[in-house]
Amino acid sequence: MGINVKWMSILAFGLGSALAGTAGALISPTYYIFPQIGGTFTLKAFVITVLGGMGSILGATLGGIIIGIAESLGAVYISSGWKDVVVFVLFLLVLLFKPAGLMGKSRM
Amino acid sequence: MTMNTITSLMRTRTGASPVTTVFGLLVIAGLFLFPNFVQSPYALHIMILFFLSTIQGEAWNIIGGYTGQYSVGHAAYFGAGAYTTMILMQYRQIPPWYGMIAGIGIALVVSLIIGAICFRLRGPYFVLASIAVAEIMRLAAMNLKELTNGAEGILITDIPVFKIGDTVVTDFLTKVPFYYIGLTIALLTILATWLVQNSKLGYCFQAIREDQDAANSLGINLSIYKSSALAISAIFTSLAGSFYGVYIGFIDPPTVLALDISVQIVLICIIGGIGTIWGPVVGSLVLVPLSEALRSNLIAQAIFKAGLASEESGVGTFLKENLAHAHALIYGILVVVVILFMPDGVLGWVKKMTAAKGRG
Repeated sequence: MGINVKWMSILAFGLGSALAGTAGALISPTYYIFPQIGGTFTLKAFVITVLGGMGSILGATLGGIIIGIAESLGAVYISSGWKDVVVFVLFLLVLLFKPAGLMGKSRM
Repeated sequence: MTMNTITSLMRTRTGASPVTTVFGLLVIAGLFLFPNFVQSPYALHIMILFFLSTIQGEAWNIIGGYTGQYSVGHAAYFGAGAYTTMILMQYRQIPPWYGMIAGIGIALVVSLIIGAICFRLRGPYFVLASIAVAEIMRLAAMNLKELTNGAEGILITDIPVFKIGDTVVTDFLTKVPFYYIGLTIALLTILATWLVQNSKLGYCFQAIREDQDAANSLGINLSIYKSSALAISAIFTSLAGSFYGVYIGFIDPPTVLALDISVQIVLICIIGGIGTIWGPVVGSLVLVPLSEALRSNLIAQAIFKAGLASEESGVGTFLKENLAHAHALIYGILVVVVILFMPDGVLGWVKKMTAAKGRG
């Protein structure tokens, strides 16, 4: 249909990276930074997307808010060492019960 | 690839020719006699690391290479084996050979849970869920201080003597018993991979790798077969973990449960060649000496010996001081180069070169 697949995937990847870079710039005033900082966020970003539903803007927003609140509540009520565990367990539960995510279409 | 090479590959895969069988037996005999001729603890240490890496690679190969499900969370099983064995040995005084079995049990349970959750889905879910489970286990090991001693790790003070009846077989004071244990487990793992490759189970795994839908339409239950591949893989990874823990004598979450370990396990296969029996062996043969040479600064010494730079000059001091620190960097660059230029791994590249030579 005349769509340049290679260019489009490069563009999508570039846009995604640019947004992630913006997020990084925004977080730097309130967060301590170190060379391995990306690792924790990589997995969390995927967790948020899956939770909200792949390919859904509202889903990603909702997923981000839920994960953020769950993490903070986990840190307060359980312990700060366990807060990432809360996020990952949430991720596994979503995969188990609603793999399509909160707002996404089923992809089973 | 010509028809000829394909048939010759098939022949070596199914029934090895007498020459290869004799050669293989000679290599195995040589490996068993090795400690009689070489007493250097460092050489034995390198060989033990090589066996360990082979076990890890072969184990990952069953799920990643044959079934085509890329797990980046194998540290979970490695750590499960290591931690179970070490906790039982240090705090309950249970000998490691029973601890190994308990470790396998725990790793099996973890693998079945992951399998039940992930294998109903396709796409990147399994990769990320495997990372998530490994991270959960790492954080749990960090935080369950009463059980795992947290970030301080577990240091074993002594290993119980191995006895059959009343005769003492070994007291684990030298590296030699570890050498034989490592060699035995490595051979067992290679044998298991060979059995998997040439059994109905293995054919089902490979069918799933090639085309899930086609396999499913032929009556292969995808989630059951994927879970069993993961379980087999978990058993051997857990064995490797137990062996590592007892051999090194110290474990903490970053050395047995971190993401680096999972990536390292995947790299052994990718470098050697995915989905072949000898791929992980070749990968270990490349990676273990490479990382040791970089770590112990052998390369800087080789440069001085070759007269490329003098040890006293500015460049020499720079190399001497920084090459050992940069070993992770050089290692990473080499790995990228191998992946870019040898997409089928070193083994695939060698095969292609010999095939091209045969044609030309």
